Amino acid sequence: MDLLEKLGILASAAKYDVSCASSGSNRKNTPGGLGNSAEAAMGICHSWSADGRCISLLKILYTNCCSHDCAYCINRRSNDLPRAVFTPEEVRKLTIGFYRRNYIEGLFLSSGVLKTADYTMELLLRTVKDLRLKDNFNGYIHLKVIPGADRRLVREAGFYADRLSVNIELPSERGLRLLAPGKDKEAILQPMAYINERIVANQEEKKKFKRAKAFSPAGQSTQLIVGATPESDLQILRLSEGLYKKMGLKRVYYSAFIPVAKNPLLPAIDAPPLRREHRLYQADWLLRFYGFSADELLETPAPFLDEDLDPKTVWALRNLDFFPVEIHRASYRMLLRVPGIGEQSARRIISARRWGTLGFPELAKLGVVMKRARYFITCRGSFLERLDNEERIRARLLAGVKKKESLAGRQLPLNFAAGLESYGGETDADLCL
Amino acid sequence: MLTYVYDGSLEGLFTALYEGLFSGEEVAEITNNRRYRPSLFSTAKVIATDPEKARKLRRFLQKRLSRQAFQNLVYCYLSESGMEKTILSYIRLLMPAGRKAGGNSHARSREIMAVLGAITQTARKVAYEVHRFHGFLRFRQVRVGTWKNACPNTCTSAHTPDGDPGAEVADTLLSSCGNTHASIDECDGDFYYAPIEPDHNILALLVPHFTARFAGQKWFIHDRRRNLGAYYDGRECRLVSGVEISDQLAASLQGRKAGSEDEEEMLCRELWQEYFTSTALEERKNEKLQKQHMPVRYWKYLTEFE
Repeated sequence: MDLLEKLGILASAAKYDVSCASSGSNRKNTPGGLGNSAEAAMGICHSWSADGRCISLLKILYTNCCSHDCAYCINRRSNDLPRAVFTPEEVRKLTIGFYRRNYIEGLFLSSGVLKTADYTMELLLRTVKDLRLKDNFNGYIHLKVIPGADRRLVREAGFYADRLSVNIELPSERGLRLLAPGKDKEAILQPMAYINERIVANQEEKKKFKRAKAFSPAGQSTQLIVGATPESDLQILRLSEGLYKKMGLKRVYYSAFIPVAKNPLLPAIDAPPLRREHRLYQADWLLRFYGFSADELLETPAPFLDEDLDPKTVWALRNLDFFPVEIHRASYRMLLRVPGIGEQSARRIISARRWGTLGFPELAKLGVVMKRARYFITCRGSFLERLDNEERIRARLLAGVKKKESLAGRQLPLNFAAGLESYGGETDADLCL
Repeated sequence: MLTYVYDGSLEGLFTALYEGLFSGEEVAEITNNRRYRPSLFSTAKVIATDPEKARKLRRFLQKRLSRQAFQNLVYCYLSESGMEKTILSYIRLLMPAGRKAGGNSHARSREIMAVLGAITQTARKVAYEVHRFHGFLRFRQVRVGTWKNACPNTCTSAHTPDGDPGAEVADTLLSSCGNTHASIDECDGDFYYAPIEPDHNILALLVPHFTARFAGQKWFIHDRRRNLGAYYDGRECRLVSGVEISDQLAASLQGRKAGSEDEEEMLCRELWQEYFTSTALEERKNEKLQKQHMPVRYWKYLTEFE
């Protein structure tokens, strides 16, 4: 089998992994070396594939041979499809060749489990180590940790990769038992906790010793599939919240379940739940940057996110007694809670109001989305539109959404990070962190 | 109505601005000699570039402005979108007379907001295009003898990694040492060539990123719209103008096989195209979103669309 064919098989086997981040590492180039990882706060996207997802890393599996038989996975043992295995040299050649031509920011290497977890992890480690040591490659490397692999391997991998990740796969232990019989919660959470421990310890070391080697400098992330099992959005968000707080994760990626197999255990759906995924990303942003908690966003009687309105607006409608917010006096935290005001516009409001008073047109210029914000704010005590009834505001907002949709004649363009857009202010370059 | 016409260089612009500030003339428009179109209602005045005046103005600006604000001015110049008059109004606001000017304070703050807004917005556009080209630029490995000639009439100092971009680019563009001799034809071995056609004149702004990242390989970035080039020989980067490429390379840019690339290069391109198609999820096809992020005008030199 030639390299071209292998690449086709193993890229297509890796495409269900959604992580695309390539920033936050700050690895410098070395004399005689190749590459660095972007210093800028936002990563560099090199291309966008036909599904509208950005391509910044060469995302491949080392092999799609797998000893597991997870029902939701295209690479499961019982699936009849062509299999391939790279060699470390081939992966290196591809990475270096692509990187030199500025096609990519770096490598995202994952794998099916070949023979045993340790055996596979050793192969991955060897590839990454050779890239760093033999090719002097300083670009970004995201390495998947194979659940169940020896700690020593994980530890060593952390010194060569910029980001490590362990996929949590499904939002609950029950789901895992049902659909991924070879995997268990402990085997996933243990390495995650271990990596976090090492990252924290490494940060301490770096304070004491200037030359301490960085361990997974861009942190760790994880991914879970939405819609393959019956968990509610509230359960998922609570899980993410826990992962951010307890495991110090940088990102949790949500991947709308794509029915790649017919299995009585799996729900029969026609299209992946893209809208739900989109709302989850929006809620995820609220958890990480806007000071919300999972239990504020959703309550047990209705544990799913509203598909028609974004989670922040829904929260605001449920808590109308917090509003209206006076733009000239509200704290940064409170401004962040107003629908239509994002991080950037909140910051701009704070700095602009020092110099003078702001009117509604000025707010729009600062990047506030007035379409949503208008019902929730006052400027020097005056309203733009006073509707103090939840139902009426909701009806007005929905009318706007419906109009937009009928104009576009299709579903909203979904992007797994597009949650940002609806909070205004941010540029689309921020979409892929 | 008076129109100042300068020679298109940053030095020329600074001279024109200097004149606009101190000559006492009422300037309606400042434009460079390529964009200038004579009109019935205006008289043109050609501004001869004066390095001394340019230097004075630059020193004043750097003293008065934050790094970011100075960088914004340079970016506005590079945007090539007719921002010269706005820059003049901006500098007027900085001058002592401008600050003391009385009158309607509300109208004045409106004016400040408008000028400032236009400048930051334009600068942001330029910065965004730079960011985009960090990703969209594609190198191809080629053999020597690829270009016919390029006259290195601009000399650049070696790049210092953590300076501030505004001052650095101004340094690059304002340095008037015309004594670069090393002809580019002398370079040997293979190198990496990248054609670009950006909306704004961002070549000089791309240099720091690519010098840091590809310090170990020789490369040439060619702005085909403006015939400018940045050549990195493994040690330092030079900006050149008037670049002409060989027929062979021109042919290969149009997608014809011309033998200027070896097999490895062709294989690498093919592999990338394979990767590009294999990584897309058929179930989530969304070409509108793809084009939103990657406008079609940038597709011309993208390997994946060849």
